[in-house]
Amino acid sequence: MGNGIGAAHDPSARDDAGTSPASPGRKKGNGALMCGLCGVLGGGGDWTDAAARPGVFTRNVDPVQRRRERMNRVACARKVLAFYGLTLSDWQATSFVLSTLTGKSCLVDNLTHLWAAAETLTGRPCDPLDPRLIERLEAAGG
Amino acid sequence: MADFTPVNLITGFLGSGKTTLLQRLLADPALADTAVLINEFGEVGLDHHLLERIDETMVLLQSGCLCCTIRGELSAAIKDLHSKRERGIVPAFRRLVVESSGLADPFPILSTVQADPVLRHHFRLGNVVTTVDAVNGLSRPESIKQVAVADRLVLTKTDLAPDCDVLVAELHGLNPDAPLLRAADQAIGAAMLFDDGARSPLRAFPAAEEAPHGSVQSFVLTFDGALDWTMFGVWLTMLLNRHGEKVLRVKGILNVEGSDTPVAVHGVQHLVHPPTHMAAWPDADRRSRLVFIVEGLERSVIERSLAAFSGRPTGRSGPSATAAG
Repeated sequence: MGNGIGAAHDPSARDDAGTSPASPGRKKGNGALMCGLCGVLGGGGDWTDAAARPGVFTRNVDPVQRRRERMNRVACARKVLAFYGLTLSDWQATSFVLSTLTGKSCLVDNLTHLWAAAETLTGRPCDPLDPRLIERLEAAGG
Repeated sequence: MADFTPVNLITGFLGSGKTTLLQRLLADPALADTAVLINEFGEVGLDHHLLERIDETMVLLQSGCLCCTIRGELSAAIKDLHSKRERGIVPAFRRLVVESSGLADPFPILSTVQADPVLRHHFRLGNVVTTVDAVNGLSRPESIKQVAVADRLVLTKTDLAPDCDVLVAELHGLNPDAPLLRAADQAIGAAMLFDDGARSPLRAFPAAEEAPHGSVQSFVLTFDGALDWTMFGVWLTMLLNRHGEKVLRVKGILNVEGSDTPVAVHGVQHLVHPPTHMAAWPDADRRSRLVFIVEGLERSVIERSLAAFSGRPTGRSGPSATAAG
């Protein structure tokens, strides 16, 4: 998995985040992005990984379903991340490894954290409303 | 499974009647076991056995992630109440009502309850109730945001401004799904405002003229066929990461592949509630329906983007948009 894993914990990575074209909202803080460890330390609770409880729709119910959903998630995210020269893979069924073509990598905890990390790695915004991305996806889906 | 105590937020601009509404509600026996937190003391006294004061202290966690924006003193106050309840120092309240300052952005309050690592295991977000003053209307930007996040709208002072059809149309245009109650004309009980059992089903949206309020507009996207839930998650997380501050509200019911009954989704800016698996479809319509209340974003682009992510480009079998006015 290379030397880059955990790069989001590196202070230099924070500097990158501060100068990247991240969304204005996230600049309210110190410009740093949430690191992969936040999930372990109690961040968690992302809506895409909602804990199974009565009335809640989640695919986080049992190990098999959870694993299948993680594979689906990797496949879906890869279709979009390819536009930015990024790829995603599962890591021990606990995190995801986000990597550039040159091997620079970081761990992300869930989909919500994925896009902030992708912007840090690429140094450019990952915007689902970008017409070029939409055209690429339309071409792929057609 | 432990019971989660619902937290209801009462918001509304200065002088819009929040405290008066709260005072009326607290007389309802249904709220006898309700704790109340307020962060401004108005002229109306509250005779209630649990009353705490909160000052607006914003604390940003080192992560810098907006989802983790914690209103520190609110968090501490709720934890303190919870601790006292567990130790039997205060009555075992079953609901918590937070009355915000008239100038407050509701989002940090909501994110406090949902993102705080302690609170989110004991409390859940309930309905947001927004009061709107019929005399002054939506004259301030803060009011528009407060209306956008509402699950229930309460129009106050209609006895002073009985001719408020324009304002009512504006409110429906901004937040077409939130039931509108008139405080001066009807008895408002706690269940009407706080019962979130019927929160998920979206009402039918009649086609209407688009009624944007400044740069804020609401619209509905409808989709034929079932959606890929995973791809929808990829799309919505990406959208909210980049444009969360402009998505004042997103809510809807989705026809999800592999699920016989619909899934309800509610989001406020960067914050998305845990999706709800509804027991049944509200009507015979099996289409997915998503309401957006956005500021400065183009409906057509959002529509095209979601269709592209879903592998169904518009013009083929993609979503259709209906203005909700």
